[in-house]
Amino acid sequence: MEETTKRRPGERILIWFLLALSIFVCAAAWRMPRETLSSSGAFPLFIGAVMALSALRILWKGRKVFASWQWREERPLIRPFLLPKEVALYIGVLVIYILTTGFIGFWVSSYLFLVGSFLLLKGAGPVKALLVGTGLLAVIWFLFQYIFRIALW
Amino acid sequence: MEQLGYFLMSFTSIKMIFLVCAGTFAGIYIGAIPGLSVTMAVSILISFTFAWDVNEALCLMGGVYCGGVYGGSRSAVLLNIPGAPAAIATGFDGYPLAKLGEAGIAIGLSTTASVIGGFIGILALATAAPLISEYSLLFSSRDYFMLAVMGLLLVGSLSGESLAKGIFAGALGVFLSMIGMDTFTGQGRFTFGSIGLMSGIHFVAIMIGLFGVSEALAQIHDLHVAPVKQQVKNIVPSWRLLFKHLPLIVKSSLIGIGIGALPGAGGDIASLMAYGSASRSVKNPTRPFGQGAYEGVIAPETANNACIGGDNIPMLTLGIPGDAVTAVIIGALYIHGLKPGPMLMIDTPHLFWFWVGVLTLANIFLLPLGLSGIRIFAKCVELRKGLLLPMVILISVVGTYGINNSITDVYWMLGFGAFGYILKMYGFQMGPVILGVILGPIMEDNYRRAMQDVQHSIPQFFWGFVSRPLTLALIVLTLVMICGQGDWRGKFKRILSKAKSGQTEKL
Repeated sequence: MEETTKRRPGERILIWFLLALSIFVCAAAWRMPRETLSSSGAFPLFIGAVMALSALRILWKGRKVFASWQWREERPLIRPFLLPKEVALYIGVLVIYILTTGFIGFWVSSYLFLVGSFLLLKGAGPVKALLVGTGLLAVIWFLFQYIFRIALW
Repeated sequence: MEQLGYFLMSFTSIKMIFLVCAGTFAGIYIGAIPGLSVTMAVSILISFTFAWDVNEALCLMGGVYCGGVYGGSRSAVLLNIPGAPAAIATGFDGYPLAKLGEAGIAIGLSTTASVIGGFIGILALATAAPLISEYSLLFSSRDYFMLAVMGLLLVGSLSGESLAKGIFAGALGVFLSMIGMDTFTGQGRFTFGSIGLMSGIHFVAIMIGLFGVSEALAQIHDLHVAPVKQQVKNIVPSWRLLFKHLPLIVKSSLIGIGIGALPGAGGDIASLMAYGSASRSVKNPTRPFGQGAYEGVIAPETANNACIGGDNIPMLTLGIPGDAVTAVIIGALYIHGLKPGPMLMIDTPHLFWFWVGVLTLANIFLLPLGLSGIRIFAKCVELRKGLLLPMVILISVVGTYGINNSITDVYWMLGFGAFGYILKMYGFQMGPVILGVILGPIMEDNYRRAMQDVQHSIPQFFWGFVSRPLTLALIVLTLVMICGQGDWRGKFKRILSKAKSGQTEKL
């Protein structure tokens, strides 16, 4: 297959991380029983090796592209590429949403999450956000209570 | 007669008819709205319908599946953004038609072509699956292992820009499936002493994270892209137009079924191939291909819906998915206690015929639903992502919590969502990960059984591959698939460009 490696800031860091993960998988599998080829550690070891080899292959294929960038040049580009302001902020909102669910309950935290998200992502103005949030939660409550029969926390 | 009863079961219950209709309706809109995909929808639905009766759950999922495959064409025609990979080829002529003010006729043609293609595909499924399943009873654990390997080779067509990235993603999925208690020995693997990890990570949490949350996060990048508005009218195509293109519809259906029945090839390849075939074989298209030819909409749309029947043949009889959606459907069937594969037709033949009936009913609903509700549709397509994405995330959270009423699953889902987003940004596809999660346990269990059968003798293990004709046939098929793992889309694009240049030369 003819493949081209696109230049993406931070890619080589990810691939090195994935290679480290693969080696970790191999090391963990190595500590499992592997007396025979059907022991519980045999297949994980094989899969860890496949992961490591494919990570090495990606590094090898992209070696020229990865080498063409100085770390000093690449570093300031990583955050805008991977975590632009909206995405970083939204991941923060998601984490807060899930963590607060345990304290203030699902319905209140979900309502705040929805309204906050609509406003943050400029999906709606304040009034529309409040109305859509209320309507959506009412629909979810109805669906889960009567159709899907799932108790929400 | 008994089979007919099972086939018609979904037609005789008001509740089931409603569920199929609602599923098809929802599927069309989910498939059409850029940012939502049928894979995402089915993944989330699995958790919602977890507690349901299996028949009712299948009704809803079958509807979403059929509607979603078709729905992708709508955004391809109206926005030039295929709602699903299977609708890529539809945009080649569909969007030029929309620009010419003929979006209505393009949607009408794609709807009727999809419905006819869908019926032909279902007919092929009902005919071929029972025959294949009889053969598949002869399979040993070594053969099942080979089948799982063949299924995993699908990473070649799902891997996107890099095969190595696809292989890594597939292996990552297999690794994730191994976390937890080893079913053979009861020992914990990759649990690091955690009791909570002994039961593993629920694959639905992984699926929703990878397809729902990661996609939503990736979409936040394009928040500022303004929605495209289109005028849609004259949606019902004339009988004359349909009859004129009937031979093309039948031919494209056969291509769709054939490609779909191949393990590892799905609707995207089928529609591209049907488009390529049409652009070479249609002598006098309504307009040159690429400039709004009706034939350029009919051929891929017929093929991708016929592919549903084709995809279901290896999925139901051998347990091998044809694409990412069927991989998720396999997961859904497992959740409901069914085991797609040779034993499905033996243990639960009624469910096979019931599923065929559901697909037929969904296909029937596709016609009126596809040809109506244009105003609602236009509003949905124009929906702001800032409004849509929080809803997707909330539904993902709720759906994941619903699997086990466990907040831990939600943490996993969000973790995989963030990890999937990072992988996606660097060109990794999520399809191979899911494929690994689904096929990993099948591959490992059968490999270990096959090894135990030969008392761990490596020569005997490999001798088994060549001494049995059936296994040998599977090996040959696997090798053919490996050789064919080349750049299919590239090949098709080259064929298409050749065909297009041929058309231009003729003009």
